Amino acid sequence: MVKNSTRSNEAFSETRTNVANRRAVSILLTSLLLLSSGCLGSADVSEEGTESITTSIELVVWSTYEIDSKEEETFLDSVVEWMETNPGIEVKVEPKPFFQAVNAYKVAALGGQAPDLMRFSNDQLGSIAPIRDRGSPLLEDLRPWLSPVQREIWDPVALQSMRYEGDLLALPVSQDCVSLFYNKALFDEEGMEYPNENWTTADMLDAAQQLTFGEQVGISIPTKDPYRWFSLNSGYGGSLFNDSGVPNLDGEGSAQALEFWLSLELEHEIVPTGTNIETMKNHFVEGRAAMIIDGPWQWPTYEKAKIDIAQSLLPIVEETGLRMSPMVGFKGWSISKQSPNKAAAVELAMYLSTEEVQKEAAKETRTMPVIESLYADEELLADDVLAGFIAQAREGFPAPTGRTMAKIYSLLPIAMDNAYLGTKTAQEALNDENEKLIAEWES
Amino acid sequence: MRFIVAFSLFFVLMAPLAAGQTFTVTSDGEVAGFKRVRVDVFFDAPPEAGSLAFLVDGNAHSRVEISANSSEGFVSPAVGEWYDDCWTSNDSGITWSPILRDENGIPWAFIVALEGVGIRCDLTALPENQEALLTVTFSTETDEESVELTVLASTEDVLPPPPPMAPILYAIGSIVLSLIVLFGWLRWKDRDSSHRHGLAFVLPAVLALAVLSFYPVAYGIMLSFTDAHDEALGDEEFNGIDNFLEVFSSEGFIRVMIFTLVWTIVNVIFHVGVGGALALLLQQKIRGKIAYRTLLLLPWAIPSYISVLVWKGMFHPEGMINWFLGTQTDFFSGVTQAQTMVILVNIWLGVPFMMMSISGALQSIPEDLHEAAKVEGVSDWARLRHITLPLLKPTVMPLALMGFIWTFNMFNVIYLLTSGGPNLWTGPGGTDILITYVFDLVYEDGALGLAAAWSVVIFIMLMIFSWSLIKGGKATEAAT
Repeated sequence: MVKNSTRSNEAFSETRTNVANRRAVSILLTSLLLLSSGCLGSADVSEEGTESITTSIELVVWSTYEIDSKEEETFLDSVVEWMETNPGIEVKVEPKPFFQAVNAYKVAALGGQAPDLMRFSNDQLGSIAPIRDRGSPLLEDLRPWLSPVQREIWDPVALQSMRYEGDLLALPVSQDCVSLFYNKALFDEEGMEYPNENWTTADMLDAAQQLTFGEQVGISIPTKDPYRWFSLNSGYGGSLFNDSGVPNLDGEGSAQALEFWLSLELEHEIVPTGTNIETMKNHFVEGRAAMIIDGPWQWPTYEKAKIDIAQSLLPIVEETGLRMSPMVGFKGWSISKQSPNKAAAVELAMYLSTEEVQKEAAKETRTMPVIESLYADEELLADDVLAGFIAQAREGFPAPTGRTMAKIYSLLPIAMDNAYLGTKTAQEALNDENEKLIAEWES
Repeated sequence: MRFIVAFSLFFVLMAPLAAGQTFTVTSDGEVAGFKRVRVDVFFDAPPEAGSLAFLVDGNAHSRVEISANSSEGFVSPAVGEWYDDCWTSNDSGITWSPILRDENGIPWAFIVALEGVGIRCDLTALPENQEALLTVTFSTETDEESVELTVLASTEDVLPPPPPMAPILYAIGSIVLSLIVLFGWLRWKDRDSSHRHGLAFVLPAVLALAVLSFYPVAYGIMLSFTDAHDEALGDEEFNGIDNFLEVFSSEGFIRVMIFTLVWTIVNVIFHVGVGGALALLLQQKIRGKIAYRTLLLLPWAIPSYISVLVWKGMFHPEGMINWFLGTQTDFFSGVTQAQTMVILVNIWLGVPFMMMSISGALQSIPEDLHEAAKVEGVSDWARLRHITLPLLKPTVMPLALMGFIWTFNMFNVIYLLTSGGPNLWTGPGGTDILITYVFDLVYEDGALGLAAAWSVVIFIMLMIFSWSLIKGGKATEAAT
């Protein structure tokens, strides 16, 4: 018995050794396979990608419209219409939060997973455009896809804003800028005149002071938001870049603009402490703010809140006689450089930027178009609100497209915080940040 | 990069113009690029004012206006917002000057129209590898002449290279192979032992760890010695310790380091202290213990980002806390205030976990010990000091170590509450800790090599702290 047991143990042990050896060999082979697959050329991948064009095509679009908004609904309707006329192509729309869009796109593109189409604003383009992955940009240069006659339909300024170092990185689809929103009911209650195009900053200040009492807020603005401050800065004669393109945050008028802007909260106390974009929205939605500075993208929210809302051009700066000039941002459809279905993607991008689609979006959502002919479209101009926004945009200046602009957004808040807390004067704070900006720009 | 030129067409045609003028059109589908054809139009004599129109397959493509006579020269093209792919020459094509755009994107050009004046345009939007009929028409007030030619845009699209898998597979393969060799050696050394098969059992977990943890760490360390930047990915070069010198000499290094340590130590002390105190309290016979325990667990049960956003709202000048105090303080405007607030919120978030973990440890302490001590007349304080705390130590020390590492790398509380602000300086903001600052370096500046160097510094610091804690506190006692 003992002998048998020993034998069977030996046999078992032998079998076990064999199994273990085989396992070790298979693991080694797997590892070698992993190593050898690394030796394979990578051209096959792209060939596979291009082959799919001939069969069925799926386009992936990342939408940054607010979920369940009217804008998203109008956009999805346009996509469905396009699919009906292009039966071989399926469009898959995936929503992405607007403010995370750039980072999400960078990560996806660097991993070879970029969507075919995505909507970017021109400052977002400025932060994606310089990125090079083994020499290749992340976005397709659309110049070769369009003839000059095809490009002619768009506002040249809008088209220019979609360019980065010559490359056309998106087809423009909309523009937006801030203007002065006011709650008519609150003005009526005090028997005051509504803001108008001849208003000066002194008039605005005076009205805001009269309308500030109790829980009511005369004017609500996010005092540390560079985007809204840009309009006052231009009204004081300031500019972000000088004529040679050098950063000019501490140029003439900018310090006064910053002082006036912050004084609305710190000195005049008509802007509630710590107002940010969200609280500004809340003040207006709750019917507590008489005036705010906001853009057309928020108009549907305020209408939905049943606010008796109206809009006017931003006022003229009392000291300079110049009108506050908002920065006009543009958005457009970009194509991924790595899209395997570029031709179809370009077709869709062109369709989404056509006069017909832009007009529909303008009618449905008051999105400002960027087609020259629509600026004079009677049907659109009959809408006072849209006409007002278009008039305001005409008073604005185009948002620069470039990485330096992204830097302004990160350095200007430092100056604003320092001036706000009084650790530096407005001029010193702007000087310091502009120096850093110039150093970055030069490097 | 693949750049295949199938073939090209090169045509030369001549057509008579008014008053005996002629123009020559040549095209080249190779040099202009994808979906483009280069077209050169040369006038044998200064042309009259007119319009040079290009049509592709009968459709209007582009047009160049020649609005002046020979003494004033050519002026800007009229159609389309740019002709930056167009040039003019007045020396028979020896030199070409680009037709530029002004600051609004409007093209303009001015050349003196002499004999041999030429216009060169890279026409876009041509069908790929497909012949197209190009019609070039020169119209003056009195005359119109056309030239037709077949053009072919033969340059292939330059596709981006596919993601480089080879280095990754080599690296993973190397890790796997070296682990196999290591295990093989260990097994060989251990061949007579009865637990040698244990190595085989842990092998899959170690392999997974190697691929998912060791490799990224190793890659990060490698990246920290390069000048990797998102503007030139794949072209990074070894730059020695430059990144580390930049880290240690950067303006905010000491500042962010001090706040990271303050943030971590204060949080861990409060997590363990308050969590332990609550656990001890809930160990007593009190009424409604389950209800208290449930309430105290809420911060842990709610997703942290929701809790943080709720706190952000409550700390707002118009939030609940200010309403309660009757003030309008902006708690996040000053640096010290903001730092205090982020620490408070994180303490609130972290206490329940410690409380629960310590509660579990307390319940595992044999009741006999306490009863025996009571019989001996030992005071409550002495029992806590000599029985409870020593028996809790094996649990609390690893917990504290884990809490230290988690808090040191806690990203979302600061990111959601202040985004690292207030920003009074360049570099790290007032409430930035190392990990939130590294995020900014990657996503705002694209400085991957530098961010990797900061990450290596974080890694080394954590290693040192963990090692000191383990050695000093014998934290691993629980495991043995």
